[in-house]
Amino acid sequence: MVRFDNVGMRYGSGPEVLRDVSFTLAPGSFHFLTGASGAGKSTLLRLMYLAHRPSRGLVTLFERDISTVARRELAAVRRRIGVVFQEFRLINHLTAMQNVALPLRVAGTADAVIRQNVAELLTWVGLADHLESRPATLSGGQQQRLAIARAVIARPQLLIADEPTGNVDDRSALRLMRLFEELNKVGTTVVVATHNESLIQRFRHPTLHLEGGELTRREPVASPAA
Amino acid sequence: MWRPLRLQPSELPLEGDVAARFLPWLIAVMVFLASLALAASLGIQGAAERWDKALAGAATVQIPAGRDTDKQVETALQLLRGLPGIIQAQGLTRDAAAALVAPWLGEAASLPDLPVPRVIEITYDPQQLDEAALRQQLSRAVPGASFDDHQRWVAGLRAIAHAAVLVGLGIFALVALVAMVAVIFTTRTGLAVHHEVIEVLHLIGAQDRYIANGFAYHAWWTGLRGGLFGAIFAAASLLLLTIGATRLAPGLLPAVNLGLADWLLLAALPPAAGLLAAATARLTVMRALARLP
Repeated sequence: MVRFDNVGMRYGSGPEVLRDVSFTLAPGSFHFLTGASGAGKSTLLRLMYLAHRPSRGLVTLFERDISTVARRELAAVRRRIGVVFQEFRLINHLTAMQNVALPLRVAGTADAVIRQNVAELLTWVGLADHLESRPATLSGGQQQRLAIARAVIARPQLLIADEPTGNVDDRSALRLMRLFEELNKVGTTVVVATHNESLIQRFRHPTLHLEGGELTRREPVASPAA
Repeated sequence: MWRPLRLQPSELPLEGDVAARFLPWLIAVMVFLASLALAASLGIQGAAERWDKALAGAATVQIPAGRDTDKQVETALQLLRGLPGIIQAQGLTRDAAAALVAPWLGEAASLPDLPVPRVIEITYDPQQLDEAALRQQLSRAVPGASFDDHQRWVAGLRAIAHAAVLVGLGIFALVALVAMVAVIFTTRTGLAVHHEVIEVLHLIGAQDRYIANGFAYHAWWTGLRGGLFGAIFAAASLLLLTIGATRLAPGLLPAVNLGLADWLLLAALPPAAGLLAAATARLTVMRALARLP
């Protein structure tokens, strides 16, 4: 599903923020990504959701070497990836429905299908009463659920979440993690970057740990999910 | 797929951009100027064609004043009427010839002793008339007589008219270029202002053309609205000019005498401005997005 081979990344002529990163994520797996601030988590995720190309090394997504994929074909690859951005990155002048509809709209899905799927998903994430609300009028937790709905509406094969529990209380964080696990159970490969050690302790998933731009793998902790 | 008439709401709120608010006015002015330049070109071209048509197959024979001028005129007329291709040959009387030079000579032109050359007006079929043979026979029959088919004068007018048309088209092209530059800068501003939305669209899998069409759609309407305003103002100005010229100085301004086809061409300017703006915006966005991974 995802494979990094000796990947290095630097911005411009700056120092390498990722060095010799190699790992493989099997289809349907669930991984945490941890590391201190500045360790390179966001850069690793950005490489994974194709916001950047690596400075060196090989990134393989969905069994395709990304360096050999034509630029215009990358859009189709991106549509197989759902991303929950750290700051949500919702579009403020669009309604909740329109925000969630975006991945389907850019894929050319028919309006009737979009309307039905989006309404169902927003109901599932508890935003049935906010279909026409603008993101700015929603609470932090609601915005987060909206961002998740947008990330999963097109049924991505790979779901990437960058610090999704950063701005919510423990109860909301648990609810969110269960949502990710449900998606994982239906076959979605999930990668969650987090600082939240209690979540990592609670859910039994392998962890990719970054230190100073280098990757170390940690085995899942013993206790099962509550 | 090229979709300039996309009817779905845009994810890019370009209508609110400060730079974009001035664009319709700028395009209105540009289309106004382009309309006037095009109208001038079309009018001058039409006038040149009319002059050409009016003088094709028309000529004059000039016989210098002398003792037997009347007889020479009669000889020339007999010769001319006998040549193949001559449709009509009619001599002007001395008084009529004097009237022709009166604007330059004043009352002196009517003095009986003034040696006024005599003129014969000819209409002919240029396909049938052998001009060289005519000149030869005429100089033999009436020494000193000259044949003038106005080509030197017409050629000069034609050259001036073509130059004026080229200048008009040059102004038209310059105005279109300035409009394109304005659209490019407005589009670039839009790209900078909305870069976050654009990046989100890019990352969720939007093709470049999807984003570019959003800009093109906005530019199309902006160009069309501005173009309509400019064209209406230009049409009103041209009509006023035509009416004013007809009433105040009839015949002095043939350049504004536009036909139906010319008006239709001018009416095509607003949609053309819209399409030009859309194509420019689309190209600008496609080039900018090509830098994204």
